[in-house]
Amino acid sequence: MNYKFLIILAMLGLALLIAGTNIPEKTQNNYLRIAAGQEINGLNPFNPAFNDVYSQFVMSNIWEKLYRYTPDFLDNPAAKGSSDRRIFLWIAEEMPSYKKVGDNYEAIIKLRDNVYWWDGERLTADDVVFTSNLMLKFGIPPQNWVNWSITGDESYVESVQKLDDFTVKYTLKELVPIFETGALMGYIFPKHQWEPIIEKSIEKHHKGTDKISKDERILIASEIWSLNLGKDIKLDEIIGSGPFKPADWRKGEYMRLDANKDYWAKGRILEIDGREYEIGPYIDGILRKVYRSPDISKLAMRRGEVDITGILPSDISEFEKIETIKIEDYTANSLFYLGFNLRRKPMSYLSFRQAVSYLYDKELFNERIYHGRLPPINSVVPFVNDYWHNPNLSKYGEGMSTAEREYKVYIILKEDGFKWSKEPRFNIVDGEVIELREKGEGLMMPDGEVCPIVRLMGAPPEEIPDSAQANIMLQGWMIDIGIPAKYTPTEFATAVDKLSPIDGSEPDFDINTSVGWLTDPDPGYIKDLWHSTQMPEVTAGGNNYSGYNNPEFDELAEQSAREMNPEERREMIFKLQEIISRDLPVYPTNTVTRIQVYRADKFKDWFNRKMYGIGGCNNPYAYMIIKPIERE
Amino acid sequence: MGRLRYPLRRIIEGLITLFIVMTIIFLLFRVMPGDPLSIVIDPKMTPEVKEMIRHSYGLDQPMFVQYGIYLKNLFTLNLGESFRYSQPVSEVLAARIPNTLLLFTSASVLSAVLGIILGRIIAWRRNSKLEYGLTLAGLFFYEMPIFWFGLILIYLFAFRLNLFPISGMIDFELWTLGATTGEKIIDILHHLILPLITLTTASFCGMMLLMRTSMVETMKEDYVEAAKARGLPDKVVRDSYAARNAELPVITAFILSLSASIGGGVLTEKIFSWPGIGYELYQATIGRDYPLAQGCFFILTLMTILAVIVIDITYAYLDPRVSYD
Amino acid sequence: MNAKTKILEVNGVVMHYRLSGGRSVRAVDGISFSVEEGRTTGIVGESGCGKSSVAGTILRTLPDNGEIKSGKIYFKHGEIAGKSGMIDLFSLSEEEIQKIRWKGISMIFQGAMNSLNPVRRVGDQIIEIMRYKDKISKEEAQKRLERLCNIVHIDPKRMRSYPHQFSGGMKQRAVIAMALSTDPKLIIADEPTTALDLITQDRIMEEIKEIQKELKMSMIFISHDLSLVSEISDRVIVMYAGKIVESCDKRSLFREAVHPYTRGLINSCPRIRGDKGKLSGIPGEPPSLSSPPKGCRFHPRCPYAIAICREEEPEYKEMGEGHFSACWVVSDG
Repeated sequence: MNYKFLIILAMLGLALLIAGTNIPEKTQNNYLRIAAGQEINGLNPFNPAFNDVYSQFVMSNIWEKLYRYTPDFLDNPAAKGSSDRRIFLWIAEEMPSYKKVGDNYEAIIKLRDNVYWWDGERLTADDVVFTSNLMLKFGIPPQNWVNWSITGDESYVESVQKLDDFTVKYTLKELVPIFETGALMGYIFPKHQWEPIIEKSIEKHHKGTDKISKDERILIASEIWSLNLGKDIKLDEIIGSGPFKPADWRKGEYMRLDANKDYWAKGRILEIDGREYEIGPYIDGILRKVYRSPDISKLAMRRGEVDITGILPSDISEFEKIETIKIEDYTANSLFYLGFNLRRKPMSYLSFRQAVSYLYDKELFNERIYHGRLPPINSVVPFVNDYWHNPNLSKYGEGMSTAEREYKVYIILKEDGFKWSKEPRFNIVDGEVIELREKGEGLMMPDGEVCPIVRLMGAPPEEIPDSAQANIMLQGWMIDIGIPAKYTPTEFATAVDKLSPIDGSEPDFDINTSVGWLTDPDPGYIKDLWHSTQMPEVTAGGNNYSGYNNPEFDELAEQSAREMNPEERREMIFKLQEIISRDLPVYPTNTVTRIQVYRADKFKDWFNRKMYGIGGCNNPYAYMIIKPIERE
Repeated sequence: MGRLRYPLRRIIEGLITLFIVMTIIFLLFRVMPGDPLSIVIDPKMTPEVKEMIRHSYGLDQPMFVQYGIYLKNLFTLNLGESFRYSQPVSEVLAARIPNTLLLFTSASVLSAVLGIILGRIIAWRRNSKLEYGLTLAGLFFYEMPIFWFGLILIYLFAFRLNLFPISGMIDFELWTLGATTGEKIIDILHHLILPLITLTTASFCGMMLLMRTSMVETMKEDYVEAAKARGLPDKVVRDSYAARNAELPVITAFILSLSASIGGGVLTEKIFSWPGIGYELYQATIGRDYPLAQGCFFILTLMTILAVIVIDITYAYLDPRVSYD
Repeated sequence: MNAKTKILEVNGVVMHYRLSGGRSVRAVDGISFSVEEGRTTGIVGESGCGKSSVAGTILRTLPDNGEIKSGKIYFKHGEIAGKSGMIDLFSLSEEEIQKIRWKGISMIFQGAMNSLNPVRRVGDQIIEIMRYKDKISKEEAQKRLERLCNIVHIDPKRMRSYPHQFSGGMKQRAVIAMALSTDPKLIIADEPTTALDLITQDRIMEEIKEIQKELKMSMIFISHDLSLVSEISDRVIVMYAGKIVESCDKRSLFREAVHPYTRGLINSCPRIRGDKGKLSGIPGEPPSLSSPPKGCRFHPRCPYAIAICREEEPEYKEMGEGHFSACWVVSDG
């Protein structure tokens, strides 16, 4: 008995002792400390499962691309004549030059001659050719090789060749914008590190001298992407060319990246928003620590444990008081929408889709539920992507009150032939709709059938509480009009399965609010999402969940994917947005605004990139230019 | 001979249980709607790439083939490869289990010790203010949402009073920028205290009430009355007569809680960013990372089966009336 | 009456069990008797008559709701708390009574089977009590244990066993050994043989008698079985519904007992020796002690009850030398 008390006393004593011990002074350093919300999945750039923003962030600091978008997404004078004026030179020294040769096109890419790998080797045309061939010959698509379609039989790239050490020639079957914004915006890997690995795998799985078969390709690819970077290739053996090198990784805890002191781009001038920055890196490196709860990373930020973190709008006020901390926000190019299953009634009626779109009061949701975090959008190209965004689309009830929206919906449905056993009634004074007086009941579709229950497939409250609330409100308004709506909370993984069933069967949903997309700066995704060949029942795993099938759209989408002139292409993209807004296979609802806070007293020259914020996987410029502020 | 037959039978029974549980888990994951590919979903991914991934996950095989492979792997203790980490499940588990053991198993031990000590005190002093006070406090902490409770403790003791680190198992700056082994050990302990206090405070009550109930029952036994009448010191009667016998069911609960502790706790691991196995299991289930989730359940099932065997053995040791000849 | 020294004197003790709702059970209702040194006093009565509560009152091992209302118990002990001679047990603190327990008065419990801790070795339990009470070394305790084993006829080796490995008789012997282990001045044996089969019961009784003779023990022997009590006691006290209805020497019991209840007990007693007499039980049930009948408590069951029995309690009067009884009928006629 006594000894147990002693043990407890001893433990308490130890606890106090440890609590009281002076924790060893941390060495003074200029590492940027980032609070991250999740563990890094992995660093293997070929593994498709490592597409989380955290893995991507680390990869984007290791490997680099031939071209990028300009830091501020403004036009680059050098990109005149390209399919996108915002293209920015990185490893490449010049914009690609094209020449028609017979049925094909030749694209010549000039590389800089001063790009070095971390091990001192020069980055040459060999590396570029090797990397491109990974895709072309072996079908091994690296993670950030933006355009996956390059691997397929329909690939527009015929071959790639080295002309000299710093010149690469691509032979193209056709000239497409995705070549520039896709293929040329993928990571370049060091041939001397990866070739032996790939060759060993080919030797193991490829029999005979014929072309590598599809089955063999799958074996090779899965062997390559199961390679564990950090173990099979030790962290310090990874070879990249970027500004930060992975140096230490404790899974689930932290990762340390050290600055590449010999970064090839050091001293180059970056012009951002009219201001010039010299590339560093100036900081010692990056330390990212996992905080699984935003409540805690917020405290860590306030206590000075980290230098940058994301916060919620409700936290703004507590950071506003802190002088050393600055708040920045950015609007991402996320796309959330109401997705209608056009295969089913009543979603197959345009009037019905319009009705639900009118009812979905995105302004109200943004204000009341999301606290301004989810700004409304009207197009499938979010407004932040301003070059491609069509601002002149129907706003479906913007500025209307709930009663007005409900009345509008009643009129739309009625005019299209919907009937009620008991019509909804409204209080209308001097032509102004004041309120819904009586709910509608027994809705019948124009074909005379009773309107079946319409399920709103949304994220469950435990996943995204706010979204559940919005779904419940929408359900209420639909019921007001007499539409038998039912919010059906569905986990993300389940929703994906229902939207695009594994076995290639027809999607099983009515209205989807649970799955959205993070879109690219290039609008090519419009074709990937709504082209009729993308229906899951046509191509298993396709993305056209709604089952939208419009030859007019298909043709224009295909055309836009081949149009190299940005002005011409822009018109087509505008038209495509119009068609979607008119036909409503989906109704775009909102995008996301994110808020970040950072230590302005420790580092200066922070750069808030449009669509991507002051850091992360899509702002590779930020940390190569920030500078530590001298402290005593 | 007889002595050997019993453990052997238990082990065989355990293996059969394991087989049944693992089969149910396999089926459960397959029957549950949800696409493991949901974690890699990307509109630019062509169907062919999706097919490649599905193939590399082994999901393009018919279910009975998948089951066959699964069983074969279990027999060779190969838990497969996590979809999310593309890393052998055994490696993921090996990295997380020690962390979980450190926190959750110490918390189990601590709350059991605390629960048994307090439980015997309040059972002995029934209807005292101490009993009401401890029961009320215990239930209060027991019923309090642990996420919220942890947050309060972090806010008070770590953020305001600066006594403990805010979260995590180690100080990342210290570790990565150089620290001696001694400093590292102190650092881990320093990080351990707050979550340990949280978990123990939240869970000792169960043990305490169990001990109390069990002890109140034992105290009605004749031998306890007899021991009192013999004029043995109060503490002796309480500890080696009443408590000694009352501990038996509590020890069962304790061993089971030890085996369950390896599963960690999602909320505690989330709020303290503790790199344990509970959060991993949760994420694996949400993301349909079958191999990882199955691996977690395998370990949990194995531990529970082992715990039951250990309980039997412990009983034979603690209670001479039990024997397995 | 021989001028024997009294070792225990119980004087008008009243003990109630509190029940919920302010009610109470008068389990011991004004009892007086004494125990002489080296002699045995037997207490007999039906179950629930309060005889075990008498034992609990003496050793103060009553449950929480047991309340001593009045009376005195004197016990001849060595010096304790600066007092000597006949010590008033009720005046002792819990700590002081703790010293009396087992050193002064030990007990053989009702249901001896269950009075041993099932998870500890029998020997250890006996050694433990010796070591706590007599502050002796382990070795000495071990030696004493062996002596005790001889007295109670247990193979000392068996002392390493656990209670469940003992037969009923052996457990009983162990409990007796435990009661003897600290050399107490008085032993209270509360139904020591109840749960045993007849043959074992007989053997244990023989052993108790032997020990009694050998050690010159003072003892209170409590049982519901008059034949057992009379076999072993020097004096017999008959209790009914919390009161003593009759007390007399063993020798004169069968001949001279006058109280209708005692006679009833004698008649219902299967004679071990002698002819198979008719077994005439006492009809009816003992009264509830929370609301005992007015007058003589036995009157509802008494075949001789007269009017006064229903109205007034009979006086506990001396009927002959050392023979007391409380009955209207007998005293009047």
